[in-house]
Amino acid sequence: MPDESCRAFDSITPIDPGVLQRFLVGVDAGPRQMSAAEVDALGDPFARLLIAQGTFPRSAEAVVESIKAAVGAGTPLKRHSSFILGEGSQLSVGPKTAGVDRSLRFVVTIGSGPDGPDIFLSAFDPKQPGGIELMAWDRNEGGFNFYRSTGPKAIWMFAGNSRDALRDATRGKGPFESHRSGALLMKELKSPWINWHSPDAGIAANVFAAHDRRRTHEWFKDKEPTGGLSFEAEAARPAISRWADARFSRFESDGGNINRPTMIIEQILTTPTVNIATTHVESGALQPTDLLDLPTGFFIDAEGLSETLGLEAPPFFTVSGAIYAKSLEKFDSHLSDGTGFRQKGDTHFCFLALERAFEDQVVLRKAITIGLLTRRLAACLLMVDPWNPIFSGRRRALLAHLPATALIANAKSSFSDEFSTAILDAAAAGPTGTPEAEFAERWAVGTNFSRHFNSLLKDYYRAVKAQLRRQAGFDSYFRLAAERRRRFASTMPIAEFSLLLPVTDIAAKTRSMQSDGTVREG
Amino acid sequence: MPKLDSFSTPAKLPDPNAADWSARVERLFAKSVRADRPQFYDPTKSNTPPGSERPIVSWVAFPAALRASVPSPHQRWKLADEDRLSFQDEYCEWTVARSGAKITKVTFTTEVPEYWEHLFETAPDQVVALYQELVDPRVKQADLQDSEGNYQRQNRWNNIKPGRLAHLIQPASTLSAAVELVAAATVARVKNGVPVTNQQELVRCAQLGNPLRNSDPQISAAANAAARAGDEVSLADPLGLYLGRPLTSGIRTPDNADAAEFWKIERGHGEHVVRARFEVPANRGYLVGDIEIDGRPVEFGGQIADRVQVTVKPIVKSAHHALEPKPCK
Repeated sequence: MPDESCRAFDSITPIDPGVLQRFLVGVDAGPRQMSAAEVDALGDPFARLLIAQGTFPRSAEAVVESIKAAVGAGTPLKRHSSFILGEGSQLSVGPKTAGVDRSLRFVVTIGSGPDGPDIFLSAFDPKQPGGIELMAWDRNEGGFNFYRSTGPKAIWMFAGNSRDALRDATRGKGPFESHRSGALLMKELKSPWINWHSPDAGIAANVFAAHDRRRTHEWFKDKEPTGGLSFEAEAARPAISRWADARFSRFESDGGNINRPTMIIEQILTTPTVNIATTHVESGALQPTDLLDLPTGFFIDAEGLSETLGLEAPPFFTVSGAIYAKSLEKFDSHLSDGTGFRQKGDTHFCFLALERAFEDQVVLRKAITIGLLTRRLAACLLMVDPWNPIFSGRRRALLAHLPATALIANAKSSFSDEFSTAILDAAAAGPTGTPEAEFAERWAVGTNFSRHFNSLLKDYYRAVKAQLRRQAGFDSYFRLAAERRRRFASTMPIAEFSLLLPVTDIAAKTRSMQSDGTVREG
Repeated sequence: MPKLDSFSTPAKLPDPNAADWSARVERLFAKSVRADRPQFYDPTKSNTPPGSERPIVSWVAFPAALRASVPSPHQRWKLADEDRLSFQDEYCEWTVARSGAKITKVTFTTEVPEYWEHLFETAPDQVVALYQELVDPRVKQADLQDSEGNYQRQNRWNNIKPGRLAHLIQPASTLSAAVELVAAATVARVKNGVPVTNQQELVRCAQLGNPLRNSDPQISAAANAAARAGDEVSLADPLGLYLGRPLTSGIRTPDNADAAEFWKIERGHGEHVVRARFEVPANRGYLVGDIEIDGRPVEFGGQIADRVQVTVKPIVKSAHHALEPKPCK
């Protein structure tokens, strides 16, 4: 069985580094030389300015310098920005942490504009040959072209375009194992941007060993001062929206035909990927009298339900520092690098939780805007098991009734009618308590659904707030958070570094939130 | 560089009474330079060697405390716009002007109130003229002072809604607070035998302000990191808080114009901007409210404030102080 993960690129046999290889994992058995015509068809600046000109930079630093050298003064590609992150970047520096792999790495963007940068690259060491991941926007086809360089000779491979993330043969394979919908990935998208150098937590030079060349490299010394904040605003969100725009505009040029609406609806009803959120409170500064601002996305899909659909926004969910500290103690929360380092407590910012990914939120908005989903259908779908914003088996079950195709004309489509009818038919034919029956209940409220749905949400918010005042109530949320993290780590390769998540002694068990704010186990 | 001759005015703004301002800042430093803070110095009293580092400390103008306590972006932007005094506490304040419901411009300031007090004391006519130019042509001197003739920071024109603002009014956002913060942060701290280095922990340990603000923890951490390395710390001339470039990449305009063009500097220049506005030039035919950020139209000044950076520049003078960490307060 061939390795179809993103690690497939690391085990190739040495080949000519002066030629671009194509390795579309899932289609190609291994790297194969691309023809001049194939290279010419690549419409991104990395291919156009370097590869097509016979330039194959060996290091990440050389990529940036070569691109900047290839363009004229005053062009956006003349400017780069560097960022640094690392899962162990906030651990204190001292003898106990001297041997810890902090997974420090650089992300560099080149270019800027309303759609964000044209090129993103990631590397552990600017000067090291190979080991570079690069995405560059294809101005001909739309979408990002994904590249990898590997080995000491820095063999460059074209690994696919964002569109390949949505094709059966390549879906979930190679780079699309992580970039599930072909979008840029920024797990820690929101303030306080855990693991990134940011206004909320700086990464100091002494995290590098004294002799480490990265310590004095300009990418570190001249990094964007606001780090994660700038990256979120100027790079990640625009890049994710840019791909969504290109992806959805293709439907217009295809005469409104959406051949596989499942690719869209799966992003709305299931959890292809996640974003990581935390409180704004540093673990090291935690006081019993603190009120920790628990991430809203742990409890409810606030962005989808409230920001997009206008339903009742959640209140400020907090837990006291005293209750939180007891949970940490009770469940033996600690950090571990898997090779001997162990530190009692939590990640740098307290309570790391997972929430619906921004790339999936953008797709929800787009699906409504183009007329694929009516607001009523979107609201009724998301109000099925809304207490579990991620990993909801109940919402996933509704995919069984999805129409195979959709046609949109003048921002209208029969898709919503067909989809809702199919679910309602299944509800009528089935027992009570099914996801379909829950949907039917929501649908029966009618077109003026806001008041009723808001009432359900308010009851839930009140119940959650009551649970958060009790140690036992918060303990159950702590277990639920751990269970979701366990599922994330076991199913998503983006959980690649051991210091990303806290470790607890909580046994693996199916856990889900219920409408009354309690957690069901088993 | 030898000793600084005098402190410049913020952003080196032209001022016929600049010497008075410098004297005022020297008095302010005198309160913060203390024997128990040997690593903080007044650059007009001690040398600053050439090559001393001047790292830029920057943070975002939108108040972190609000961001951390109001989950809905829509709600937090609205709250911040509505109440400058209660919420805009990151050494940066803004006001919004509208045409109907649509935003036409958002004006930002980092001008410290002490400077306006100095101006009023030394050239009251100039202050009135500035108010008339920047805030409202109807401003009179009597509107700006109390019954004894003292300048009122929170006078009715500087806290008018809707309207334009003159300078900072939030009580925590003063030059003296910034200087004292840097000075106090030069003391290394230790807790349970372990050096305190993380931002919020340091702010808590040394009681350096609000750990959930953007500004206090950042400024403190930068000064403290330099002090822990044995160096001495001060603030670079011209002393002040400055507006950095707004993060405009990713802002979508109706005609695909680069939104960076809409940032108009009103006072200051280059790295030293103390007042600027975000406004679409009239010839483009649309308003700020027609612009989108992350797919949402700009409905609040807070959406722009989310992307405006504020900066301060410490001086780090190489030295070899032996550390004498103090326990937490």
